[in-house]
Amino acid sequence: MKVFIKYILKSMLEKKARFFLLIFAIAMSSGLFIGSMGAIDVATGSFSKTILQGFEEKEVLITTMDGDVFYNTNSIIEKGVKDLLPVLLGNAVMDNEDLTNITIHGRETKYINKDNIIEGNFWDSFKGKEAIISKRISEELNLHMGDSINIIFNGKKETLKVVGVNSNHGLFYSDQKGDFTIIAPYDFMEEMYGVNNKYNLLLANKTEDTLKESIEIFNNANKDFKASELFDEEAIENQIGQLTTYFYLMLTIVVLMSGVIIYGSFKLTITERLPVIGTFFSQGATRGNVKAILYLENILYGGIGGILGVATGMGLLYLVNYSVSPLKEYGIIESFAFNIWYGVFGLIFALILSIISCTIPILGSDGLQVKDIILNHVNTTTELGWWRFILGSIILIAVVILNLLKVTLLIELSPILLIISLIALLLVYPKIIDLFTNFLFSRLKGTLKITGLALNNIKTSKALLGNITLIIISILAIVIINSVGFSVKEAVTGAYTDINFDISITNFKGGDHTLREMLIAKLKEEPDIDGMSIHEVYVANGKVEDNNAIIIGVEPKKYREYNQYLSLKDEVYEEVYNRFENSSIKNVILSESMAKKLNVGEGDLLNMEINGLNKEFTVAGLIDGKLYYSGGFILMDSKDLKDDFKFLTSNEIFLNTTKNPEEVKKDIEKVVKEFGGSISTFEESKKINLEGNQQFINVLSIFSLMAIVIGALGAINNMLISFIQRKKELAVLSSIGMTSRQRGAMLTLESLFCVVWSMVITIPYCYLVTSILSKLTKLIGLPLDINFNIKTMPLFFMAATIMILLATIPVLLNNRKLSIIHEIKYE
Amino acid sequence: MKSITVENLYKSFKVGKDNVEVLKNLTFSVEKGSFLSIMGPSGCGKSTLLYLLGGLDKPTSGKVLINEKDLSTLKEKQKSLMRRKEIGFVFQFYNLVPNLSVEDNIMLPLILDGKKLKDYEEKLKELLDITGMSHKRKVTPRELSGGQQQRVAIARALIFEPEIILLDEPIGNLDSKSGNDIMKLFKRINKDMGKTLIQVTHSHESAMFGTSLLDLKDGEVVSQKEIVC
Ligand SMILES: Nc1ncnc2c1ncn2[C@@H]1O[C@H](COP(=O)(O)OP(=O)(O)OP(=O)(O)O)[C@@H](O)[C@H]1O
Ligand SMILES: [Mg+2]
Repeated sequence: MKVFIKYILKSMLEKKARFFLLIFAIAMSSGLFIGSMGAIDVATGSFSKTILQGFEEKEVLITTMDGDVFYNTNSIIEKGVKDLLPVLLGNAVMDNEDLTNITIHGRETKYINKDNIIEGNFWDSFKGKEAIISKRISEELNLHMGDSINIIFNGKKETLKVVGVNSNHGLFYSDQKGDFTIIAPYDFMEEMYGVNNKYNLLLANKTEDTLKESIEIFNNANKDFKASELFDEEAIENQIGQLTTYFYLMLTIVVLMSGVIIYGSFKLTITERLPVIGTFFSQGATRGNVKAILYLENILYGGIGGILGVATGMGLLYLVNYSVSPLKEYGIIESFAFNIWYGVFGLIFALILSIISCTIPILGSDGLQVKDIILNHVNTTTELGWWRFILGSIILIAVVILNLLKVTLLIELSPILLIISLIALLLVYPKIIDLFTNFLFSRLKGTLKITGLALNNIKTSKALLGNITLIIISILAIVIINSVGFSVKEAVTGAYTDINFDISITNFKGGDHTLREMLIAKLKEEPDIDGMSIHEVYVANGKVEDNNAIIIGVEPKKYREYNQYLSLKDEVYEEVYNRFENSSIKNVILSESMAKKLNVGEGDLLNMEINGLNKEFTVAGLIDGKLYYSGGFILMDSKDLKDDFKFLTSNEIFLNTTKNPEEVKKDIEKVVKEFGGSISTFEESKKINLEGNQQFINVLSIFSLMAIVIGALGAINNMLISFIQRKKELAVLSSIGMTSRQRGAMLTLESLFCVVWSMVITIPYCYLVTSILSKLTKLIGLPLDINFNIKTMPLFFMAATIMILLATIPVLLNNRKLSIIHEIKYE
Repeated sequence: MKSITVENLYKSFKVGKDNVEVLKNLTFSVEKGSFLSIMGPSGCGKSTLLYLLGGLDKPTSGKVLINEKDLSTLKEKQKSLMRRKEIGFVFQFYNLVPNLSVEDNIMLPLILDGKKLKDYEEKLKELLDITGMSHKRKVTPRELSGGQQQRVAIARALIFEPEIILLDEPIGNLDSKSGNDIMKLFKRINKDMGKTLIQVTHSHESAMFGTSLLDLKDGEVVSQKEIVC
């Protein structure tokens, strides 16, 4: 046994380049696997952490039952919750050019955490026009102890004196130059709001193990107050979940490529080992012994690759973590705990991947006669049988037909359709190349010369066919990303052209709807604003029969005009919308995909839970949600949302102007900011939205880049394999007069034909893929109409050509060193 | 006129630190239209000599002239062209391109040279007949026996009707009947077409088909004599 292991270790390291490629391919695959598993966790973790820090580790939000903004806390029964943190919260802007947003926490000193104070000794005297700022802001804005901050709050100018500097923990965690938090004395805020002993934000910690329990206990004990989760982790997970589907899609692609690489390398390894294997056989080793050696070798590859894969996965997760860390600009990267199980799964995945990929070549060696192996009479060329072609064709045709059917089940099957159709394609194409080459070669071999030989070599070299597979998969990865990106862009732009507003106002902090109402009143007075067009849209996360649902609160009279993307003015929706707008019973409109998710239809009753309150609504009708909120939402009259669910925070105010929106924006920006909102014109918000989507595409592009890198390395490897396997053949050709230039030309042409073939095969398949992808996007709740943009193909063709020509260089260098007699002399 | 002239030819290989002299001071020549058989014990340097004559390897010192051209003055490309048209080669072991059919293997030199294959149809048929491979013209080498492969290589060496044909144990793998047939073919090619043939052989019988005999031992010429029949 010792001898075997020694032999394996030695032979693994003998071919260093191949060793590294194998390890690299395995490491990449398992790294991506880990990345795909962990991305959601990391991203939600990072998001949650920032938010939780900002809330100073509080978990429960307490609001009044009747929706009062200001309340005193005397009558609260502290059951289920502890460590109450009452705040008088306000939004202000700095009195400067930029109108920097400031969130003011009015607090009594007992509610200020002493531990994080770096400078200042205000403890007993924190009163009046004073402020505590964070270290980061003190540095960024050059504000020091004793300096003044000029703010505009509720339309009034005030000057606060800096009396304390706090570290950037807790409340100040997410401070940025353009948007930060200060703590002001409670009495100052009391005066500003003209209230007495009242608060407008109340947070607490749970007392029980789970949040749910604590909230239930509290809500049962209190009549006037209501507790809810401060922050809905599930909703964020849902959002990020869409991204992971694409992660897994890319993972599939990378895994397929790694499989091809491992398969190819191992096939070559076995071929090269045949003499040694032959010696083993002639010394009486059984097939079982030999296979055990081969498998053991592969398990070692898988193990080493897997360990590196775990490292890669950690790196990848770190990258994801870095890119979602909101404060990376300030060098603050969220720490994340690497789930040890991901490492274990990654390692297992690497082992399985490498064992499966090497099984085919190892089983293939079963077909070899022991005698042939001992005498080393094994051919490296292949005959392409029909069965793969027939099997693949049947599958492909089946997929094409299925894809034409309009069955909803197909949406759920779409990932499987995608993968089997790709595998079927890979089964079919070699025979197509074979048939075509035979046809061409038999007729034109005289005219084609070297070109003909190159063509012929492709169909008989497994390694070159493997290259075609790699190129096909690489191009496919790029086409998928590109098409999705293109469609997202189209969809966003398209949606925007149908949404009718000139200016939107967002980002209200805190729950103060009175401020917003004051702002709206002010906006109505503006001469350049169409007062009738001003309306608010609310977005609430609710529950319907235990399903998460997005509820959009709208003003029915104005919404139809605003959201023309949903075509609510169409005749088909006339009746539905009328009911929604005018009926005396409480009803909602469901998007079709939401109705499907909830399994309800027109006229059904829905038990809705928002903000911890329950109420029944009737379904007024269904509409096609298109891409709006990923196609799944419920439209509700915002009045119901406010009255029945005490949901008061609006998401956005929209309005139309009678003048150039840019100018109007300039005019009202100050007012809006004073009320704690931020303002953007139609064009700006369209741009922001497009940029957001671009970011999503960029993340996916990392994967397609990885596919290309793996593809390129695999291609170099395969080309060297095909060269090494054919050295004798090339020597024979040279001995009968092939010049070394002709040899180089033949090798280069082979590479080029690989690209050409890949293109010819990929292009028609891309139509099928994008069609299936459209279904897939429906499955993951981001329904897109994905079209294949053939105009991009010449570019990809050029890129692939350059890539493959670069990959040919090592072969050409080897070609120059080829010694004819060395190859011909000994077998 | 001389087809081949060899002058003071030395060939040595580096094996580790040692220099192994395989061919030592060979001098001989082959007249155009003659049929030379090279004999000698295994390992005496016969194949090495043949490779040098075909320009596949370079001598350590000394000269090889083919059709009065000094090989050392030719560029690699010129040597390739020479191998394509002026020299036919049949090796001891490995001769065929595995992914091409028998007839494509035979026509390879024509394909490399961009010749019109139609013009050689007759020639191909004739060679297939002579070598007895007509019934196997469409199959690939792996479906052939060692002797059959050798016959295909011989047919290929003849397709361009080169002036010089180098044969390294051409019938080593054949039974005596087909070996005899092939030897007769060589003799005919030599006599009727006036080609120069050089064969390496272990069999005295085969050597007798030639017109002269070169005896090698330990890399040195023992004797070169005419064969009279
Ligand atoms: N590349 C090489 N490196 C070292 N030694 C070599 C090399 N090639 C050939 N030799 C040696 O040169 C000698 C002659 O080899 P060659 O193949 O010419 O013999 P041969 O006469 O053809 O023998 P056989 O009749 O067995 O074919 C042998 O001893 C061989 O070991
Ligand atoms: Mg020999």
